[in-house]
Amino acid sequence: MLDVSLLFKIGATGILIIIIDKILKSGGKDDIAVVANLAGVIIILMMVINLVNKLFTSVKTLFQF
Amino acid sequence: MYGGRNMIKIIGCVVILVASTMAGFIYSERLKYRVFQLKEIQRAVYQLQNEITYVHALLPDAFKSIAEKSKEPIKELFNKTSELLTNNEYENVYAAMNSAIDLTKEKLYVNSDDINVILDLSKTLGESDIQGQNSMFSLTIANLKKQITISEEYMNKNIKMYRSLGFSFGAMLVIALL
Repeated sequence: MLDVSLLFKIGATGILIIIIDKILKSGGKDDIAVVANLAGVIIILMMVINLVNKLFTSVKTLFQF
Repeated sequence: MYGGRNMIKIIGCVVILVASTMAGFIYSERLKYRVFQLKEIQRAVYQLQNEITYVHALLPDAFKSIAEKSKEPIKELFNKTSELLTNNEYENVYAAMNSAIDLTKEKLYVNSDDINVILDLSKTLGESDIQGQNSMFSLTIANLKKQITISEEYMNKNIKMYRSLGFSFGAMLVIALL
């Protein structure tokens, strides 16, 4: 079964990244805001990479006769 | 439901959150200290000008008397300069001031631009007549005023940002570890 807590984690991370982006942009540090956004995307990718890997392997086993 | 392990987890999260928020606050305090120290230096430079133009004091004595009237860490900076000048270890005021700044560096929150303004003043101290030094003093004070305006603007802009950034990074860490 899919773990629901992962969804909540991703949602909370997204909200926090939006807040950090707003704070940095209001402080006039637009370039750092872009870097923070990228870091957030990477963090979320790291969270879901296991699931993606599982999906690919299950698709692969599906086509193995 | 809330067993021992869960309790420890929650306490750890709170500790991380508090620590990162504190780090943000402490970092934003540095900006305040910079403005405070620049104002203290400005006042000290005015007093040094008085010591030189009206009292005609010798430079080590002038530095000593303005050190007595200043607060830490500016007090220590001028005390060190006075000591180094009295001991005759250095060729000129610039060299003495430079090593005094090196000695008190970890207590000074001013950046290299601010330090350059003071070092520029020390390059001409004791090497010209009162009129020449007075013109150098007015240049230094104008530069210091500019630095104070810049640092105040920077403080107002960034003090809130650093505080909320500290909290946000703490919350990020907690979510990543949860």
